Amino acid sequence: MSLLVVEDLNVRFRTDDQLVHAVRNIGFRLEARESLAIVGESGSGKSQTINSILGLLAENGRAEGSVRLHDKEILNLDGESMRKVRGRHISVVFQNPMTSLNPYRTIGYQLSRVLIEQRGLDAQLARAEVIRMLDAVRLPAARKRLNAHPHEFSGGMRQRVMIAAALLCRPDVLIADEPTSALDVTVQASILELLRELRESFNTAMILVSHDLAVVAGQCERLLVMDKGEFVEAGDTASIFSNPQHAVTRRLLDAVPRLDRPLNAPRPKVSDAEPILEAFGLSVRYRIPRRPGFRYRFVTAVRNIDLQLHAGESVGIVGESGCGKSSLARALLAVGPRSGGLRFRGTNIEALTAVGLRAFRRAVQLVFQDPVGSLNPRMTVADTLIEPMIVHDVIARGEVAMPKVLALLQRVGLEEDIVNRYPHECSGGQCQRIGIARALAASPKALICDEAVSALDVSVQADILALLRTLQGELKLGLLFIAHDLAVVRDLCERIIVMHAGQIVEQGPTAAVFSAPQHSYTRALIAAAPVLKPVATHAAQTDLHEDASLQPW
Amino acid sequence: MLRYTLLRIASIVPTLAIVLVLAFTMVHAAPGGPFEDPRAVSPEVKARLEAQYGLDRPYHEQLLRYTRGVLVGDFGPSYRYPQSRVSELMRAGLSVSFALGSIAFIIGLSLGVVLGVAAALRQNRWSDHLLMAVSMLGISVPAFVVAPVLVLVFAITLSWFPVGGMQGTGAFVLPVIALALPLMAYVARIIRASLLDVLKSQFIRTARAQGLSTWTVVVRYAMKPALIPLVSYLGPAIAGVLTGSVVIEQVFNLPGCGRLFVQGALNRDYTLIMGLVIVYSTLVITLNLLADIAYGWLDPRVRYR
Amino acid sequence: MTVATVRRHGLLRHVLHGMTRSVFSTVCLGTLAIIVLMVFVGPWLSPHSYYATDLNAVLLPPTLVDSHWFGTDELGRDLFVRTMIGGRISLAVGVVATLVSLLVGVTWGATAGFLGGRVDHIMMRIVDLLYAIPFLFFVILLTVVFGRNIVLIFIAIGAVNWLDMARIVRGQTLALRQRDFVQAVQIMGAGKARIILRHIVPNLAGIVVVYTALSIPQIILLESFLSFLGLGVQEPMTSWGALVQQGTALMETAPWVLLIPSTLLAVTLVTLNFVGDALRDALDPQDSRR
Repeated sequence: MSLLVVEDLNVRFRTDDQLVHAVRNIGFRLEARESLAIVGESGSGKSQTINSILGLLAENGRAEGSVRLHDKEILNLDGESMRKVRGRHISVVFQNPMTSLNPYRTIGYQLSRVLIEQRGLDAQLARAEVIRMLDAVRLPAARKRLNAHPHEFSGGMRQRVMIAAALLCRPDVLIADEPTSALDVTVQASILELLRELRESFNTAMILVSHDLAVVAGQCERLLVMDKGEFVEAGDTASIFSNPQHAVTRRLLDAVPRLDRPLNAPRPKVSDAEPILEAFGLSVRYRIPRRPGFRYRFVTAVRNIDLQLHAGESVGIVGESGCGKSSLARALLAVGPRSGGLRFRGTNIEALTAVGLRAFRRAVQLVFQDPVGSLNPRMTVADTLIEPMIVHDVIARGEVAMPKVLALLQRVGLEEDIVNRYPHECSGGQCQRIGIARALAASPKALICDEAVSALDVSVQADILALLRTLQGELKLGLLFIAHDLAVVRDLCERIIVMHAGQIVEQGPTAAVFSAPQHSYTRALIAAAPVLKPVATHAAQTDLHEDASLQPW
Repeated sequence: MLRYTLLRIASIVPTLAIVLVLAFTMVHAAPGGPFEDPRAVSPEVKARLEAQYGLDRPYHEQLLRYTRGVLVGDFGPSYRYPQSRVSELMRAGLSVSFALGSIAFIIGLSLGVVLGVAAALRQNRWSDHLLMAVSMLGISVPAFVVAPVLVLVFAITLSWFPVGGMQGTGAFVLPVIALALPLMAYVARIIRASLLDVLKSQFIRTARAQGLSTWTVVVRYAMKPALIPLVSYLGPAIAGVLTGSVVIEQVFNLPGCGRLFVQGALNRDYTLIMGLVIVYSTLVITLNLLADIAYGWLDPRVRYR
Repeated sequence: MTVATVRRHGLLRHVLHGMTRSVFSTVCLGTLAIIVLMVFVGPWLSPHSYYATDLNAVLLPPTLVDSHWFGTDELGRDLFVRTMIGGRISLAVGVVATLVSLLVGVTWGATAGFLGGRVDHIMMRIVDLLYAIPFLFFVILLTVVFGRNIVLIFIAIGAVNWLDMARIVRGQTLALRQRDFVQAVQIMGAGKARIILRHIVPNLAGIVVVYTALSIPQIILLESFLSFLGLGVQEPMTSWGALVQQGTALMETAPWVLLIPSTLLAVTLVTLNFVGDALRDALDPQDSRR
């Protein structure tokens, strides 16, 4: 008898004007102590599958079919009966640890509550048990931190607390829904490692849901690939990886940026002439206003950076959240606070004439992390793309701009019919292409990409990276690519700069950095990068670099 | 947090000062003094009266004198009833207004919360729609319409309660209802909206996924954040009850501060009005301050910053 | 190409679609339109004037005789015309005072939000300070001291109300300034005027429209409150608040004097509030107040 059996599961949502069939006729079995992965792009129906198993579908959703736990039907159970299943027999860890814990209650309260209600423990016993569990997820000084609120913890620590909460009642099944997608690479590695360990010591079966095959590779023996609400491929991880059958699976596999692929041949340097952009001892200091009546605090986000960007070369800047990457990007674009030297084609930014400044504003452009947020919600795609052309007189007054807009759209691989849409009518990948097109509209010389693919699904991410690579080659752009993901940068850039706590800790040609990393932090980053190697243990030595210590503030 | 609280408390001093100066200056700038009516007083009497009230002194001296008086709780004599002090009139009125206002406030607030929660938990069912439609009426229909209609129906037509005045507890029923109704409606809408917002948040999904009981999810987890928008509404709510009481006391003929205010306004009793403006303002400002401090207590993220 | 027209109609089309999708808000809009029309055309339909007294026709109940459709008051004045004229005043005060607060509030808030830094700090401190003062009492004090004056009421109410608008606009502007798409335009090298006109203002439009719609009923309420206290318009001119007050005094003998203007006032305020709510929902689909 299998632990969990799902049969003919269908999920439908009724919206204002249509019926959406989110999950179609899926079925699978989960054995005791097994770990199973469900992989697919966003919108493929993974999360709705999970929600219907847990009975957490939105009001307008209906699930049909059968979900049996220990041979007992649990699909569409009434509230009170389902309550006894959730948390006690099936528990879940959600994607975003920042918002998944109650910000208004201490973690001790929240975790004890689960034990009090599910296992009927009294407060005293519950507390002791909570401390035991927090120790088990290796939360430092757990006893002392019971009275802390979630906002006092870092992202990785919160996810540890979430895992502890999920395991409190020793569930039979642990569902982890994108448990590391919101976390830094090194933190991700340690959380995945922790999950694996706990699963073994608690004898818990696990369903791991992710859009990233690299994440599930080291965790799960069995794999289900989901697309448009259906399972398109199922089997054991190793054989799917070595011999993928379905196009979607192959796409997902190819999309994973890998450290073990041969490097792209470095492009011939375009010129050794003057760099487009040059920074000398560039620093960024923020003044953080506290409550009225208190003194200001200063926080140094970027310290003393030297950097050069030539036409036609691509430079990768790698570092984890809070290392000052984005502040650096803003400083290089001469927006936001900065001190130190910044030169555009050999001239100090401060010394530029109005004409020179206009040339700078035209020559260096930014691609943002959040594809939708970087577009004005009240402007159509066409207007967004025409704007830089107007600002930089690319089109004459009265000239019909549309041919140029359509050419741009074609360049970034978008269909013409998108031209009159608003951003909210486009997908994330489309929005990012529009963002790139806008950056290219006035023919810039350099492009700074600030985490330009990290908000996208792995497969979309691969497409955008390919686009950027093509554009960079064709247009001889200087490309500064900022990312937290080493593997992404490795495929795209000839030169790599590793940042940690606002400083450059290592830089050099890509091949050199990967083959012989000098700094311990670079080594930790490389070790933490998930590898597409099925189950064979990949233990990252990253505990040293627990995230809390990495943030400068 | 303590330092913040103290700073906040200190910050109301300039506001109160502005209120006082503004009120005094307005009255001072009034065209024609209180004894302007030539039929009432002869020029000699007028001059004597002005000297007696200190009205012949320069502006800043008068202001200073008045401020000193206010600081010790003396708001000067009433211009209309020279034999009584403004502070005495206000004290008599305040006891009535306070009883009426606080009962209405407590009833409106607690009923509003209960109804708001009930509506949120029945979102989009007919009871929710009905409750929200009624509360929209409560918000939109002014107290001075509700109060006379209540009187017309329950006092005049049905004779369940007295038409007005202070005889017995029955006399308080209609005024309290009229005063509490809009407050209750507002609170219910605010609580419903914010509770629905909170219930959509991810930490509530987590709590549900942990199998916690509905009571815990709603009361222990969702209620506190849902109350935050209510706390920031308390300031306007208090002001609303105060202004509402002005109308209600008028309609029901209750001898409170509100009626005093209206009569003072119609009689052009400057000192009385000035005193009431200052007292009302102080009340509103202080209660706003308390709401502000309660805010910090409710949100740990504010507390620790 | 129709790009320009599509853009211009983007917001409006969106709002209209959102509002007319619900039968209920369509009914509210219709009711409101009828009331507005009646108030402005109504007085011409009646043979009576709002000030002419007729001591032979005192306190007539609503009747078709002699065209006293809503009856008469204690001075024999025709209540239909008076109610319509009073409605004109109430609506006009609501709209004009809202426009005053719109103008002052948006300018103040957008300036503070866009300039930021010290200027913003000082400007918002001023707003905070004024915010703490319960202005309603001062409006009353003002009318007591300087006599009843409809212009004064306009100004006073508008002057109180702009604070809300300034706060909302300022907060929104600050938030917009931080948004990626505004930064993108800055990096692109666009001028301040372009940023404000093409990017900040259109994105402020939604919230300003909603707030304006919701503030009209509030101001009507405020005006009728003052009129009810006898501090509003001067006789024989009238407003709905003044009519309600008159009706309160006569409710035992002539309840229609109270009930007719009360009902109209209530219906107007309810529909205005519902329309404002519907606007907010149409502009902000995430909002749960539905």
